[in-house]
Amino acid sequence: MPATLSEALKKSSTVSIHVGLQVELNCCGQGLACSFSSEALFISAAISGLIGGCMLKYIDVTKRYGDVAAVNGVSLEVEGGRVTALLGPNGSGKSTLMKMAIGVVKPDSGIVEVDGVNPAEDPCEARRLIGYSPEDVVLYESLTPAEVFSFLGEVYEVPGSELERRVRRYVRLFKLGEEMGKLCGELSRGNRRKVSLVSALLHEPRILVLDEPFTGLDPKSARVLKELMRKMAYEGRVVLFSTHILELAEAVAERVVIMHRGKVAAEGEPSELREELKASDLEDVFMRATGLSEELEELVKSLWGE
Amino acid sequence: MWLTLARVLAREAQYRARRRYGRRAYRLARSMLLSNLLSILMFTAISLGLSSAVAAVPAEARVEASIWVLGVLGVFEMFIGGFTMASTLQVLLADRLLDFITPLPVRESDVRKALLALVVIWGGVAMLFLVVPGAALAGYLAGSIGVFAGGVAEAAFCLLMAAGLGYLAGSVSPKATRRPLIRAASTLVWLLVFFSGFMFNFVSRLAERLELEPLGPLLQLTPPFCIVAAGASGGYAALSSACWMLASLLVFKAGARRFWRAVAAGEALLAAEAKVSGWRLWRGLLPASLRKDLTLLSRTPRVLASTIGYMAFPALYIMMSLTEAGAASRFMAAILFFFGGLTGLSAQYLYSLEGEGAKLLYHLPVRRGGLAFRKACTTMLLLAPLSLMVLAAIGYFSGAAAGLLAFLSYMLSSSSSALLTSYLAAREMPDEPTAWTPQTISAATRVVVMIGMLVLYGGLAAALAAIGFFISWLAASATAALAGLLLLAVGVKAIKGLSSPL
Repeated sequence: MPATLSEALKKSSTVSIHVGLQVELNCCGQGLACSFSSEALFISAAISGLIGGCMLKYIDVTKRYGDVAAVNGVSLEVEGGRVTALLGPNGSGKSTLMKMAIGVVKPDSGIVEVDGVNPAEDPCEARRLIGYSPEDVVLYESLTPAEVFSFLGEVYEVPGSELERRVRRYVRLFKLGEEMGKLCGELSRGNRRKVSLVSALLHEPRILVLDEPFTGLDPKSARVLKELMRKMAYEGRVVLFSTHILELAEAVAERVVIMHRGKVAAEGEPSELREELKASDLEDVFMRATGLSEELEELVKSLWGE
Repeated sequence: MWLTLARVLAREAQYRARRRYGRRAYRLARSMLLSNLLSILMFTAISLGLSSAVAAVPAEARVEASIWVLGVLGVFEMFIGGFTMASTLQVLLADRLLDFITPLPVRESDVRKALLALVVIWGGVAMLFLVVPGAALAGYLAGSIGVFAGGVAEAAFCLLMAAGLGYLAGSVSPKATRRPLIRAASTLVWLLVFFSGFMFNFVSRLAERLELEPLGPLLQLTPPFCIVAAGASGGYAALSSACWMLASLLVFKAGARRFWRAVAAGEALLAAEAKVSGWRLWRGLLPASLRKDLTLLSRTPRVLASTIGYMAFPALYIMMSLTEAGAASRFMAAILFFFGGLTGLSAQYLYSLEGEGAKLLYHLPVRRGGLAFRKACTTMLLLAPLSLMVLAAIGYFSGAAAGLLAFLSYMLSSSSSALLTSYLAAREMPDEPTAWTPQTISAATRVVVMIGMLVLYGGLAAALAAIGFFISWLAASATAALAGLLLLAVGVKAIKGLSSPL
């Protein structure tokens, strides 16, 4: 990532500045999110919140459930402008970390910052900034998706006509048209996931936190979601998602964070991590970072040995 | 195999039903006998208690008294049995608990047997104890072995009928959310359940007034009373009993078959039956959050019936008081104030109504105070027609000014009670969504809230009644309205102070 504006400009093939609205730096067809130094102060006011402004920050965060540390002294910065994937074995603390962002789980120690807001102190403000889709979809089973969206529109204070426009857009994107009149309790797993995703996107949040968003999605919807995530990152928003599908992470994410036993085992761009850990692909990176490769090899050997 | 299957299903369904409906939890013991023991003891006590009334009747009328008492117990058995079966069986369907069995190499006959065994495991055996001990006592007191034999047969066939009805209701109930007609029927049934005591009392009073003794022979032909009558004296009652027994068998068979079909079809049936219609977002003056509550209420027959019951009962009582005591009674202001306070308690149902959806609220920028206020507003909205009824009734009996004051007094006390109840319920919501269940606000808390409200509104009503001795009832109504207004202010202030988020 470029450290200064001039560096960013050197790397960029095109720069378009819409005064007071937005700055787009285009490098090899990809939007760059930058944290500018003092030399960019004169335009930082104009671009604040659009590029590099959004930030989800964890500072030495710990959360224990009894004797088990679900999250153990994690410090992490998730910047806007690129998609970040959170990887890790089951029970490594990914979901806990995500729930902390919306203040559902409060850390025992450390601070979480959602664009400057501490969700432990003001979860409502954090939730206004965040679009969150949990791993286990929760919906009103006796309401239709249209009714759920209407309710959410009021909660997020989205004006009626704008809500209508957004809902129609997402319904078209996720092919939800035929499901909108059914009760949520009657929807298939994949469609419930789509409703949950649309619910997270409706208020066009600055920070998108998606826990296992691809679970149950058909390939077409998964593709749509990938593009949506990329586009939102391109707009300078924070996009953080967790997954167990490493190919997906490699395809979508520009940065990966690997969690293991409540700690950050590795983080960086996939290519950097491959190089650093001398790994062939992200799966190899994952195994090495979590120290599971030897264990896995033994397991595989024993399996075939049988 | 089938017994293990039945046990596993019973445990799981009972656990889920308890979470969903908050039915009184009793420990799932290892044996069937133990799991039924508590119910057996309770039902035996009820049965013996009611049947002992036969002793108070002259010896020559004891057989007739036994027919009446055992018949009523039989109706109870059918009612409770059918209700228990239906509510638990519908969990089996709605939660698709049998889905995990479908891919296993389990024979269909075993699953059918397991489903039948559930009748026993879910307290089916205990149901028999509502009638059998009573039949033994009544038979002894009446000196008739026929009464005892009839009682035992009645218990068995009432259980069969209850199981059949339970199977039928359980297989239909998952559709109750979707289909307005089934929803309406379901709400009606729930209302009958809630008002059964009230109705029984009402029918008895009516029977007393109409002197229904000549209907005695007719009662002996009416199922399930006829079975004990047949045991005691035979005759036409025996014919009626035979018809009833056959009907019980047929209903049981039809119910079991219908339920099995629903189980076998499972998700496919639900999906096929779901009608796809057009959609549109909610528009209009009514805020979406209120509309959400009203929609959820209209699609949840049980809660709808509870809410209607809570709201309508005091209003009905007021109407009856008006016709009996007259609108200008000096205690009317106090009565209106007190019942207004009671109706507001229905706000707590709107929290149970959230169901699993409540967990979604924890991801949204929603504060407890805002939630409490919206729930109270929905309650007030629901109460408005009843308040208008009160206004119209009192206005009719004693003029517009009195009607308006009464309306104000009733409306303000019910609104303030709704606000205070909602405030207490919102405070009780857990800090983490995983801890939420529709029964999060425990029965104990509800009782405490109810007692608190009874003390508050009852105490104030008593004070208002005392004032009524010294001033005109119009002035008393004005005082009641003022008291309601003060409580309303307290409620608003309390809710405003509830700024913590979910």
